Amino acid sequence: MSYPLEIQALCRRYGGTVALDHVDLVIEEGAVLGLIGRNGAGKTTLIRHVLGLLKAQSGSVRVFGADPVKHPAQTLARIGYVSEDRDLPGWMRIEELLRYTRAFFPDWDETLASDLCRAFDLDPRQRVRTLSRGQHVRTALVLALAPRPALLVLDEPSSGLDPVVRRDVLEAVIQHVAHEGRTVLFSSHLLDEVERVSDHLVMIDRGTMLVDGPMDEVVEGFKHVVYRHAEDSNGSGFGALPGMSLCVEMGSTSSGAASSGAPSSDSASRNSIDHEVLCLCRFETSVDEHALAAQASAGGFELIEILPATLDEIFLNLTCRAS
Amino acid sequence: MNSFGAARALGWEYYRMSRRSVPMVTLAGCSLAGLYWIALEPFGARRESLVFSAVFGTLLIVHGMTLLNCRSEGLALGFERRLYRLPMSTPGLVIWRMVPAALLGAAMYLATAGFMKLVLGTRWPVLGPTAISITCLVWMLALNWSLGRRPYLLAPVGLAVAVPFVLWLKPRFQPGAGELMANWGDFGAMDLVLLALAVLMAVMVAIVGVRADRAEPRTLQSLVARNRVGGRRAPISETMPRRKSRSRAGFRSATGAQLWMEWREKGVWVSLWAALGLIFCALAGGFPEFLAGPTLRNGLLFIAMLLVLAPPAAGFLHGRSNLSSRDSMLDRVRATRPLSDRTLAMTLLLATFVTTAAAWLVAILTLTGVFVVTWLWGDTAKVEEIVEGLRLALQHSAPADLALAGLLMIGFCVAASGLPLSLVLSGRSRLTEGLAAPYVLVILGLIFERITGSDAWRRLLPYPAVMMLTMIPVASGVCAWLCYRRGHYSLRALIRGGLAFVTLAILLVFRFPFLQQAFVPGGLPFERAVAYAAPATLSAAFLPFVLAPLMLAWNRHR
Repeated sequence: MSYPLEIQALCRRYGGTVALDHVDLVIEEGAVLGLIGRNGAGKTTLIRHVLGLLKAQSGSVRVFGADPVKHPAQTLARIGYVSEDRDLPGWMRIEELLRYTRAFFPDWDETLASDLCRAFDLDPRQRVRTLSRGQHVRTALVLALAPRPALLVLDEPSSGLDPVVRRDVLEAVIQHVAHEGRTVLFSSHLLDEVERVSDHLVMIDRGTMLVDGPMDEVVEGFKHVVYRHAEDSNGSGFGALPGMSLCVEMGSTSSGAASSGAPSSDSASRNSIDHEVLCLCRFETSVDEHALAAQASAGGFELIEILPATLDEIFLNLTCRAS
Repeated sequence: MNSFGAARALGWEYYRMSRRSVPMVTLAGCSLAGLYWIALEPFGARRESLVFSAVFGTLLIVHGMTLLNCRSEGLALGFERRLYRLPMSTPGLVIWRMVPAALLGAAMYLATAGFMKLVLGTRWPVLGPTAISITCLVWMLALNWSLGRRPYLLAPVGLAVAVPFVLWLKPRFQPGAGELMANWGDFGAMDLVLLALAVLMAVMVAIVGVRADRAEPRTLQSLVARNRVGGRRAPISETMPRRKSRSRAGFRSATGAQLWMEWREKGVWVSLWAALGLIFCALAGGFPEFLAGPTLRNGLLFIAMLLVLAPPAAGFLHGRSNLSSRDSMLDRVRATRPLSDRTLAMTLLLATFVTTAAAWLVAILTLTGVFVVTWLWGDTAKVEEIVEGLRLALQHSAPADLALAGLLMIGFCVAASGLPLSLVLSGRSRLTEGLAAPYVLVILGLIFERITGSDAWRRLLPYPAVMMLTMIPVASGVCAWLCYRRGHYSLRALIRGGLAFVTLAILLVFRFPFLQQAFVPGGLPFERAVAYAAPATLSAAFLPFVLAPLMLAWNRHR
């Protein structure tokens, strides 16, 4: 069975800089994959591999089972792409651009293109170079959606845009997926957007994948945990508790005084007697608070509180930890 | 931003934009002038006519490059709009953009003149052409910047500006005036004052035009675009009568669409450049003097030069996605077209041929116009003599010979445009800069010949031709094998191509017996180089078809 996108052990270096380091990724049909990461994390490099604009130095990339470098016509015909750059030819009018692009896609939906132009209030006679950034993105979105692509690739389409255009972009993506069950690869800095539309999340930093999993599982799997340990123990064993795959210390209090910058919960500050630690933990399975408290107790820890973590917090803590 | 700091910043930016192209353009100017002087003089062209052609040919190259540097977007007309964001007055922007351009243009011309004087020992006019160069350049920039939004006014306004200039220039090119340097030697203070006034006018025109452009809303349409239709704000598309667009009917194929894009974006400019160059050349000489006797022949030489220059110019333009950046990586729009590497490369190759054909058509139409005007108002006997010569030549040529001559011409077009295109398509600037190598060889040869006084260079000339004849089929074979390995061509297609090449080569050798002299052992006289050049051209014509897909893939999938 061929997936819309299948990446295996993909590596890319630019001189001494590692842009992608053994990236493995599979997107199933109908999924919306949110790709998040800091600037220079490797998101665009990954997307350029998907489009066949970069050749894998090692590893492999398959789009619908085909290598996009060896079969660019076959793969690009099934991909709709919106770039973060203003790269549409400025001298063309929108109507010319639509007609030009239509020639490359046999499945071009003229009605959809017209509807989207009308919905986005695009003037077909306007030249691309006179478009605002928002109009430019909307035009690019029309060009990407009208061929009804099997895979829609959006590379930070909404950075620097006002909320109205961002809403347009998101609605178009949602409609594209909801009505047609197409696959979307959505790269963005705006985590709330990613959380809203994606059902699968990939977090990348310095070319390494930090998180890869269904959005619900990722958000559910990460928790803020406040625990206490005796002053004479170093507290390093908490992360080794069963069912926990990751434990990042965000801050601790000792004798009631905060010792590091990350925010600690009120309860943690209030009850500090020995050492209270706030950490971000990832659990492999759903968290059973009582079982965890018992396990912690057996290890010499006192579990104080488990709080949900937002995607923002997960992102900030993991990327800061990585750096 | 203080004025001096701004001037320095803009000057530095201009230098950064042109630091790589300036040496190449200067080299091209020098080689053009040198070629005119050394290669064409033995064919009977008059010294003063040669100076005239070389001076204006050089200026044309210099001006073309300067305009390319001062463009607003791609090859679009108008002032660079990104500069409007700078906290500078409009006169400041205009002047500090014009000054480095004019200085650079003048410097490149001076370099050419210096080369002619120091290396070839030729008396070469300096002051007059330099002053004229600056004047032409600032006027071209002023018209470009002022009429960027109304390009249809460019031709009539340009003509209105050119006519008084030509009337002033014309007496300097009176036929039979003897040594042309004498004319340029008359270039005095009054001429300088006149040209300075013309420069001042150009600056004023540019300031007014750029100021209007800077203050104007984004488009004229936007002033009237938002009309109310049925109580709602309607886009202009609903309120204005629809103008028929050529592409409205849609394209028959993806390659047709890409071809249209290439033509609209680049091809049309090459033809326009050719037309403007020819009109400028004709106007500068002035009718009908320009068309009389030896000057007519010189004009024909200029057109011949255009025929030679148009294919590489077209190849270079179509090969580069981004004309402003040094990195000629394939742009995102082209790179993400759902076309295979071979199809995309072949479409670009086809666009290059179309552009070359259009430029040639412009040249041929102009040539026909020159003949007609000369016949009506100039040297009628000369035109009738040329036409009769042509008629006799056609009468005595067998259709097969004509067909093969046509084939060679097409071969030249394909090779001269396709090889630069293929190299530029690689997106590697070092390889592109290697295009200057033939020019460097020519210049070195000229210098060597001038210093030693021997004709060794001319005797050496056949050897590169022999090398080319040997190397090109080998390179074609290697590229064909790589194309097959990478799936750009099937084995069947390659065998067909190879068979066509062998058939044509055999046909050429047997049809033109003089070609067989090339294979006779012994020395390699100059004339025999021609014998080598013909099959070399033919084999070079096959190379782009296998080289371009490889280079494009190298650039597209990095």
